[in-house]
Amino acid sequence: MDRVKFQGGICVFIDELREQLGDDKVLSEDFERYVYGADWSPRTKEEIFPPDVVIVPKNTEDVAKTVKIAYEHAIPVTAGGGLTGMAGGAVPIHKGIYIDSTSMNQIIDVDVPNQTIRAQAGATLQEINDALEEHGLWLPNLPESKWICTIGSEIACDNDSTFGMRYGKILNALLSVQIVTGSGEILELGHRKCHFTSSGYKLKDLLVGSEGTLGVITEATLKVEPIPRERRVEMIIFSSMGTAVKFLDRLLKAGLTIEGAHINCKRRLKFYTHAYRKKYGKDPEIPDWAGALLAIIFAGDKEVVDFERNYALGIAEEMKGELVKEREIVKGWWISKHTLEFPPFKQKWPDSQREKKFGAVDPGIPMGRLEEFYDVFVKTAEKYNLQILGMNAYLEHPNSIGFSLSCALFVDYHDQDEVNRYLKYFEDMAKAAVDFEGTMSTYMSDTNLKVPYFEYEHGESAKYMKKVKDIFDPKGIMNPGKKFEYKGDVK
Amino acid sequence: MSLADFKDDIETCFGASCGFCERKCPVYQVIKKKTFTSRGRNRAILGLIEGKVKPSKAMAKAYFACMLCGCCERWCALPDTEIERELRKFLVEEGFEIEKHKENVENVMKFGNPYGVEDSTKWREGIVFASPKETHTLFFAGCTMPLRQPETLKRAVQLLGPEKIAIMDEEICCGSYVLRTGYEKQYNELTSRFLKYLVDNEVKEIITACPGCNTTIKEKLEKSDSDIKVTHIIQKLVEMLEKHKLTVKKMLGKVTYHDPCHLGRLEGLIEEPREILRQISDFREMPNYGYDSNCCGAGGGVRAAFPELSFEIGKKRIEEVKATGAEILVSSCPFCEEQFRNIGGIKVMDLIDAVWETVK
Repeated sequence: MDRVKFQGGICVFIDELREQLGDDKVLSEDFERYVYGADWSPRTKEEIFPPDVVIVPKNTEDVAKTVKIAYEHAIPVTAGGGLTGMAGGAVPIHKGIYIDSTSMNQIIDVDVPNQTIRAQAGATLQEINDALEEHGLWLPNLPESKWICTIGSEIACDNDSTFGMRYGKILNALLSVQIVTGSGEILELGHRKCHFTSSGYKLKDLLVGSEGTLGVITEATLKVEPIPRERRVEMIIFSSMGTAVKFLDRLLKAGLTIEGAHINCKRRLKFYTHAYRKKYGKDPEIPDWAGALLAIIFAGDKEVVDFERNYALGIAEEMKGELVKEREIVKGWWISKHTLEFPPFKQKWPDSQREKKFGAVDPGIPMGRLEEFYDVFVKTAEKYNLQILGMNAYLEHPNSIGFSLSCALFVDYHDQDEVNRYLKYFEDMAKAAVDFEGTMSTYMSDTNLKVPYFEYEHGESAKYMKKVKDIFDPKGIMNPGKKFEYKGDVK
Repeated sequence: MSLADFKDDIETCFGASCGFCERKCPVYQVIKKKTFTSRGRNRAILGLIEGKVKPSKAMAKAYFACMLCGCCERWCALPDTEIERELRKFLVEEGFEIEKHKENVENVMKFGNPYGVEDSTKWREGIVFASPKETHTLFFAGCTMPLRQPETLKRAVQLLGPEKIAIMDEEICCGSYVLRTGYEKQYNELTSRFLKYLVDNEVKEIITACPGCNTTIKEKLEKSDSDIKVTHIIQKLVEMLEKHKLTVKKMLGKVTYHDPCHLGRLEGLIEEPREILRQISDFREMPNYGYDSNCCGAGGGVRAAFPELSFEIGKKRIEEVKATGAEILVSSCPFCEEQFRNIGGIKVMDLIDAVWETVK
């Protein structure tokens, strides 16, 4: 272990961790550490970064004890959840201590009258929803990885959600959050069970997308919602992605409440119709003129759903949109996106990632420039000779047209040269988004990938961000190398 | 086969890294460490193949703590249980075997059962079976049922009709235990003896009473391009009910059914036991059933090597049973049933006994 050598050959901090936490919560065998050295991001197997030691805490106190030891010895601390990140956010690139938060997955409190839930950071989004279901409630902030993605990771990487057009991102649901700071202090940030506050600075908001660089999230209180009685998912074909945006804008103008909307370019749909292909042995038939496939979700009481759906389809017709009548196409997309009801032994991910894997960049751009940006996506992918998987715009802001973009490619993760070309593509696309008066990240956060061009987006404000980090993390040990460069300095 | 033969699958798991195997893995849900999941194991195997990770006693301790229940595979498209079996084989070859498994395997090779009981044929005393060359149908009792549930076995034979089935004088173990604990040499030895018996005696169909035997024999026969049919006894019972060779009445109370992993998830025999139970009881389903059934915690050598973990997993399953309001838990696997009986808290019955009690 390099760091042990760095410490003068004495395994001081690991011994201290064992003494403070007990042997069962400290994993230091090579096969155990290796498991935690990579996430879902495109990387070759040479780019696995096992930490020096893995901690499996049971509670906040265990995390605090761990961080205090790390602070004393200036050891990097990276906390992670499901390790399904798409850009390496929870990969311990500077080794040190990895805190596997999934061992903290208790549901602490379900407050039905006030519609809130308090959970430990390692509870998966599914586990949270399992606890809520019997009360007719749900936490709608659900990405496709909801079975594995933890609430701590959802907050720390500011993930996307299938139902963002009605419920927004996790910040819209986050009421209060407990963290262990970089010096091992336990802090509660937020406004208890109240939806908002105008008191004090909103430090809680800093945690969203912080990637564990300010502290380790250990518990959170979230606002939850009543489960709608009915849901109807439709797909409408439009001639262009821009027309689909205009259609959604028209629906908002009409006063409709849309639960979710996803604008897929034609190529992207192919990735989401794995179940259809498995069943019928062919690609779904989509007309040549299609430039966009809008998946749109209506939810509520049946009468409302029927009315909203019919009203929306009427507007679609006016705008020359065509309803996808083959329900299996819609169903295939919905299985992949939300229900995950894959036939036994045929879950889509492994086979779809056998030769090349999904690699995406996650920019945000102003709503009127989608078509223009789509061209940039295609040209940039072609410039680096990378296979296009497609673009998807996820509507992520409640009742307005604010989207996350997923500009995805197939990346051969066995080929270092192709992974390197992908990283160049990643950088070009991130910078292009800023040039478009947008942002380089909307659901993956910055990770280490965006560090070299972090100031390209944030300019002088990056210095203030660093000062904020220094307050929470005085020795710079919390997930070092993410957002800011890590120099291994001990202050 | 070797671990390197699974390189493509292992790298695919690294590439996909979806972690879907974690959600319902019964071991991971008790021991929240990613090393115990398929993704974790596959990642470590990648390390072994790449020379970044070395096999160790600690690794064996972690990787033998898996029932091979196939729950991970249900939510995957990779052959996770086969990979895990190959890993065990590798660990045994490298000298990192589990002492209790070694002892049990020695028993299998000596006595034909892992329990070390010399004679397991007492249950059939007085029953006259057909000869295999006459009937071509072999009844395979397995190692657990003759010792733990001899009465159930006698009833099974009565229901099938002893004159229609043959039985081996001394059963050669199907190899399930040795296969699942990583002892390839012993597995090959047992299965070649078994295959020779089948050919020499012109067997065309094997009826098993144990799901583990069922899948193990079937797998071996398929790999040997044999056309010998393997049937579990519940398939025969359903057939007899359909053809009115057996009539039953609804006389059992509130019943739920536990799908043995080898019969349900891995063999797809999900509807058959329910078809019977709906006719004889006030049947109710647990939320996790069929392909999504939770494991009893006993299989894959876990009960022998890690009794506390095994107990914890089985206890969780019994809680699911109780939540249905069932008075009787019916299953079709002597191993699962013994596990539930040992944990206690619910009346446990084999489907054969349930049918026997309700036959008109």
